[in-house]
Amino acid sequence: MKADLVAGFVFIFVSVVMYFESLNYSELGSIFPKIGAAGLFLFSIIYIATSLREKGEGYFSKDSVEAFVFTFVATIVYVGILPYLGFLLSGFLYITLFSYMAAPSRTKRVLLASIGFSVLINALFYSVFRFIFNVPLPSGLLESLGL
Amino acid sequence: MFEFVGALLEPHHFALIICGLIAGAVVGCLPGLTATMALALLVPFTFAMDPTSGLIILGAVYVGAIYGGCISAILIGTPGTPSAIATTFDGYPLTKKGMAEHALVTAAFGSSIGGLIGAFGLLLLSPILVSIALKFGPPEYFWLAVLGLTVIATLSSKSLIKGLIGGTLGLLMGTVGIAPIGGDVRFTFGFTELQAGFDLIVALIGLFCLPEVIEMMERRKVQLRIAEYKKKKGVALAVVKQLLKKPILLIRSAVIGLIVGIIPGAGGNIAGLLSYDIAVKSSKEPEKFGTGIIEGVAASETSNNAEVGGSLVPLLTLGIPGAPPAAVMLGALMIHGLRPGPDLFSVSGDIVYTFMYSLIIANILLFFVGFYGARIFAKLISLPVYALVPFIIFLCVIGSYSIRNNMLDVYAMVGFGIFGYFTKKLGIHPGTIVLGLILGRIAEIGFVQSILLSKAIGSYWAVFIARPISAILIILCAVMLLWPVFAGYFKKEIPTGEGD
Repeated sequence: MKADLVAGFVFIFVSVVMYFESLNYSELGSIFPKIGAAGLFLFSIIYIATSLREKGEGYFSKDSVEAFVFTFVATIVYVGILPYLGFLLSGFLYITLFSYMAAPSRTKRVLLASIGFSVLINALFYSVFRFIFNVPLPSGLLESLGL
Repeated sequence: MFEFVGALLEPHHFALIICGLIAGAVVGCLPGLTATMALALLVPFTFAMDPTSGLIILGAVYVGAIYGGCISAILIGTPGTPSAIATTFDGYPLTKKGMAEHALVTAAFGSSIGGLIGAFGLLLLSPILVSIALKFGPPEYFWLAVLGLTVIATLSSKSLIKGLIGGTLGLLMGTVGIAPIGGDVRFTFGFTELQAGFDLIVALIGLFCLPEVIEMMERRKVQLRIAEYKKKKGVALAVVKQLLKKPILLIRSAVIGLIVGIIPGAGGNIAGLLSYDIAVKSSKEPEKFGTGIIEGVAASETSNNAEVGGSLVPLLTLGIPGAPPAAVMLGALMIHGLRPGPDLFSVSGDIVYTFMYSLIIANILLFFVGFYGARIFAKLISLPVYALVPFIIFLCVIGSYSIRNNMLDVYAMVGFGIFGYFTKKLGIHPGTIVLGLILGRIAEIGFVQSILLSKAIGSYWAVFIARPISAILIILCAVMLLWPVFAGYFKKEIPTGEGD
């Protein structure tokens, strides 16, 4: 219920901001956003009212928070370092470290398997995207080293 | 007719169809790489070919890519192409039940049947069908979008209000960027990168994929693999037998796909969603949809592959592409010296008819490619979650980057992922947000243009209501919304997999 209430108020805030922002646009450009914002406002009020009546359920368990933090921190670090380290190096580090850290047991065997899996995936997709699809993937560090 | 079919039976044409189908399926199954991209990538390779061979392989790639979108939709819950959005609703729950092969065979069979009906529609009904499509003006597009938005009711049966919030959020996201009419720069808050609006594919990957992989991580302590893949004998035959008992489902889905495909701009995603919605509403057991049944996969996949033939109708007869991949086909036709339009059939009839027959053969072969490919792809889910999750995120990153070779799309994808995770936790189905995003843009253009028309002729009634196709679409919208009341099951829940 608490999460529903917070979400309801966030949606109301979004609808109010979008409605007032759309007042700055021309008549034709603002019709649809105004309708959308008004709709979101109305639905959010009903959402809050229904969640006040309902007993509600807990959406976030300890496991879900842990999984969210682990996955998103790892992903944000990955996309953050990608332009600097390049596609190959960052992809290799990401898949290796993620699969090793998230594995139920962190043994040497798991580490070796993670490294092998990561090398295989990176080599395969780098070749396909770079040489068949001609996508200019970021080279990052390898380019600055002249490789 | 026999001369065209005879030309296709030449070994190199046959080989081109098979290569095109496999290449299309591989590109289509990667989230972020669409059928349009697959075709665009392949067009340069056809420069050296004669026009017939070039068009044959492009047609096969188009068919393969639309089918390929279902593979990731079924195995990892992320549509490979926007056309496969509705396939996730039942395809992924089937995978979680350990029935990935059932889902993949269903998709291959449904795609094959849908594609065949679409190709025959293209071959036999082009002149009649195109005359209907030409009657679509702004009010009809508006009502078509509204009809598509009624799918929200099906996707959000657990809480209609959450579905409506999801749809409205998607609709508002669709307004970010330069207004299609009026040219206002809206809701960019100073970020020039947002002027082009949110890319649909980026939103799709973020909203569907990231929340799903986090949920995999949440369950990893009790469920190390999404599902176990065990090779079973007789799955394909059993699935095909079961589907053959549902001829109405297959034919109805294909007809929906064909008609939606003919309407320029509507696209395979709308075809799949509409077909799925109608399948739920006309089922005797609507509560089973979303829990993992093959009928849900068949409805979506039959329809989106029938859309391929439909989208080529206005392209070949009028020179108007019915969908983005058809626009690339238009370019390919022109590169090969063919001018799509009314004269195409009289000037280059041999090439065009050979191409149409090649689509029929491609759709027959699609079943075999899908059937054998299913066994290979289904093994993917046997990977442990701790290896599968970084692999999927890696694919999402490379997929979103390759859309415009831009890191901003990757950041946006992660942003959509965070947003999608929280909204999914609240019980808002990601399909409702995507639906609002896709249909909001079509609805806005239709709505604003209709208002301008109404002001010009001085009557809202005449523009919005009194036009025959608009009236039919309004009736269909009302039927869709009131269907639960008619069917007498409005108090029952129709789970759609979001909370399973």
